[in-house]
Amino acid sequence: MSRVGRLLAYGTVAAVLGAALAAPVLAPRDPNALGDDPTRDRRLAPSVQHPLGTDDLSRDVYGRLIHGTRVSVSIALIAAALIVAIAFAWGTTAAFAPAWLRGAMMIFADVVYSVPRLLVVLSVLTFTGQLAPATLAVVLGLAGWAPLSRILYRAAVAARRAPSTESAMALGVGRVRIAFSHVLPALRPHLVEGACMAVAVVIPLEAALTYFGIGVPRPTATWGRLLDDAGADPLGAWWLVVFPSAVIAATVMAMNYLASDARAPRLTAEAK
Amino acid sequence: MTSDAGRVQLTIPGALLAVLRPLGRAMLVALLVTSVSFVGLRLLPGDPFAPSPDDPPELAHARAQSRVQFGLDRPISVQYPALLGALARGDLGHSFATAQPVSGIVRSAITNTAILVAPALLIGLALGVALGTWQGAHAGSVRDKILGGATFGYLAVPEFLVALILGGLVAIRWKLLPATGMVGAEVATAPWLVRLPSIVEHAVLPVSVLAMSTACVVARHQRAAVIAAVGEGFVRGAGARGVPAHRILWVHVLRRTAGTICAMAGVLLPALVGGAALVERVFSWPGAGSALVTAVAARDYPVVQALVLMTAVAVALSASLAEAGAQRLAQGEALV
Repeated sequence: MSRVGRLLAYGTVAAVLGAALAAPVLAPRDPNALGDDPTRDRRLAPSVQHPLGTDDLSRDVYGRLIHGTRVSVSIALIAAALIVAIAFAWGTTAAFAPAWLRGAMMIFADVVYSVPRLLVVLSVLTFTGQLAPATLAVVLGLAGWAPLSRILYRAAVAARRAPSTESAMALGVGRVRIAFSHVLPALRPHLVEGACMAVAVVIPLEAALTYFGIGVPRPTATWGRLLDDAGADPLGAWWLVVFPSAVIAATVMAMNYLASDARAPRLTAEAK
Repeated sequence: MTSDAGRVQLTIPGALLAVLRPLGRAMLVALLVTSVSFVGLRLLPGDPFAPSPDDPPELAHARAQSRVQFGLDRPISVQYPALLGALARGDLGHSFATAQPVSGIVRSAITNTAILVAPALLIGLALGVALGTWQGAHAGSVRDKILGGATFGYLAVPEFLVALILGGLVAIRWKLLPATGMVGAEVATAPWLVRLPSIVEHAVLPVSVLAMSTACVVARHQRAAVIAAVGEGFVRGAGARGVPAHRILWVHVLRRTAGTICAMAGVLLPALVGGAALVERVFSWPGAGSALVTAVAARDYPVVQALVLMTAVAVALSASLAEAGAQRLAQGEALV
């Protein structure tokens, strides 16, 4: 992995997190506020006053993008944290469980993996009427942990069967110590990779669900909502599509890069 | 090759087991998914035949009748075994919303999705394997880096966004292809063969979007697999025997990576079906995704149940079959 690539990836992550944290400072105006003259200020091209232009309803795209970053990044982080936490708990528990329970736990993971995510989101939507951003984050987290739990399960089984772990067990080292000094280090690259991949998967998913009206409701700004704000003729006003798309693509690229970065040392270690 | 005849016979039970075990596992997963979705759907608030206060008496009566007809008045402990019994007989029941057999609704929805997913999978795999193999053989070259950057960047753009932009340019701005739907209105009721050209025309854009992201994923994995294979001794051996370089790459190395490709295909199918649900929506394609949205909104339990069951079977089956296939290919037994 090149130094430039890593710098770009960390820079993007820092910029996105910074925008999410400092949103009220960077864009003090209400992101849903209309322009001074809603008819005149519709679909204005980028200018000094509106650096990223205005949308169909005369709202400032810069402000909405900054505040949307806050919502989209929160959703992605909550969902990713849930995915990693559940997958870790499930995968490692299964790896150390008796054989019958192990099989049952992995089949349950297959069941969760096989239920279409769209169905889960739609069902919760009929349940609650509208999805708050936090609800959407939890739903995406609960629906997405299965593949990572399988990866962590395999890695934990391999770590448990490693000669060093077995000799430590034979020497009478306690279970807690085994978990922290033998199993956890072997899982760390998978955990980092899984967390980055989870963010890289959840961000486009939130954008798509919100765009299609089954995610975060109007008028809350998220990256998906901004694409929806571009309206029926998205190519008519390029700034309405280009800026949110660029932010989504840059974030996903950075997360994918960090994921492969986490994977790389493991591959070289295996090759040796 | 002469000694192979005996070996093949010996491995038949093993091969059978390798197919039967994933099948059994897929059946079990399907049963559990059905149970989970059954309970989940019944937990949803509201009743498909809930009476409304401003119903005329005859409609209220009809609703009550439908509830009895579909067995919704009975307790779940009776409904659930009845459902399993019906499913075991291959009976998917009747739609709550239209009273038509669910099998027909589900069959057309899944066929429509398959019209997009099957070509996308084949084109994506072929393109991705070709691209990845070429890249792996030229790893580190400028063109490899450009291609690698392009696939990496393309995968970062959400698929529905690519669909929107491509549709906006090709269909709406340049009017080269139809923007939405599956078949032109002028041939909608024509026989199957007459409709085919129109269906192909409508499918070009959604299939391209799905195939492109598949190709990018495949190319990245295939490149890594080829680089790993090129480093192995058999490549140098073949080179020393005077096998031409292009033959080593496209026959020997490609065969070596067959296990990777097989394992990938199993993971790609679920991802494609998920992606298709969104791309279908952009192009108003009447597939499984839109059928699911309609059915959940109408609380049409039998249709939802059947769609979930079919998807779960397809996902579980493709995942476990691909895994079994990859394992056998890795053992080098199934290359005959």
